[in-house]
Amino acid sequence: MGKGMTTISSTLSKLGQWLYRTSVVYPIASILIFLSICLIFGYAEVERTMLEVQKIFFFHVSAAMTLYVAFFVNFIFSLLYLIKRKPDYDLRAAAAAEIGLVFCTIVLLSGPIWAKYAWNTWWTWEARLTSTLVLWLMYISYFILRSALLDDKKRIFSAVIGIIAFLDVPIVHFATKLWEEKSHPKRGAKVDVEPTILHTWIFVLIAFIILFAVLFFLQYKISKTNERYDIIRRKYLEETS
Amino acid sequence: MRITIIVCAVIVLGLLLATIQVPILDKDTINKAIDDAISEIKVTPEEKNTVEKAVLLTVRELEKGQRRRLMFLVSAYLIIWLVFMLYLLRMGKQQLSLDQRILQLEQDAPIQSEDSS
Repeated sequence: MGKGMTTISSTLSKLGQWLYRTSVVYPIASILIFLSICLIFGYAEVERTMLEVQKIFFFHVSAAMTLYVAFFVNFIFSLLYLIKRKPDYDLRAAAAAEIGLVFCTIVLLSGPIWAKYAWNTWWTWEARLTSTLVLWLMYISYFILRSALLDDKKRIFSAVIGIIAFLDVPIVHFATKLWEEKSHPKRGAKVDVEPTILHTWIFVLIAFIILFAVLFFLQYKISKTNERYDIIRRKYLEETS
Repeated sequence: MRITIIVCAVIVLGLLLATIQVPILDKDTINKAIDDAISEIKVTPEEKNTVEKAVLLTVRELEKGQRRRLMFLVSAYLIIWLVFMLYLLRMGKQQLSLDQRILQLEQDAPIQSEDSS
């Protein structure tokens, strides 16, 4: 299992480094996000039940899917760190968690706006909302812990928290099915999704995942340079003292 | 980085402003709707005013509803973009601080070596 994950991780890492080195991915991400907005407001039809408010879903649902990806990346690198104990894996895990937290914040802030229109309430303690809030709080605690501890302790504890926190992701995803009758408010009859809406959503999702990849490598590079700076500075201070 | 963020914000705001423009129905369209309503239900001239008022009220309600929905839509998108912008600004700040520290280290190094010699 460990070997397989290392192969996947190194392949992804090589691909990412190539994309980062060639700088192709930045304009691609910007253009895709711009095109997403154009498609949402220019191509996708207005949905019949929710009308214009449904357009919130393009970014809301895509952000939710992207946060799954981000936290999965965090989970993989946390696991790899515990197996291999390479500080580099810890940096990657933290970078993924940070961006996942940004997407989670987007989901938690845009959701209530839709809820206010659909359910006439900003917040309700139903399964999916609550589990998403718990997920957000767990990753907040992940960063609080990182800022409170030092070096190896910080890495080990945050890897453990990263793995535990990821267990909430399937709960978030299947929350509506698991607790459907008990707590999930009825959202009305099922509506046939127009092809234009579906195409736009797939496009926005791809754009978001590419955006995540860009932000992930940027954040990782900053953290990596930061760490290297600390090592050089420490060595320099030791030499001069 | 900042320029990209500003350009991005301007584009998003422009697109959003273009989107929230509620298409106000012109007088001709409203009159046509009133005529259609009158011809369909065959009202007496006395009832014409009532139909006219009903149509105008419906148009106003529809516009109000659309304005409310667009307000929700714009608020959601603005919040999403604000979160992205804040994160990008934070990232830019981190990079800037790192650049400054590296520059400081580069400047300190020759001074220290001169002192030690």
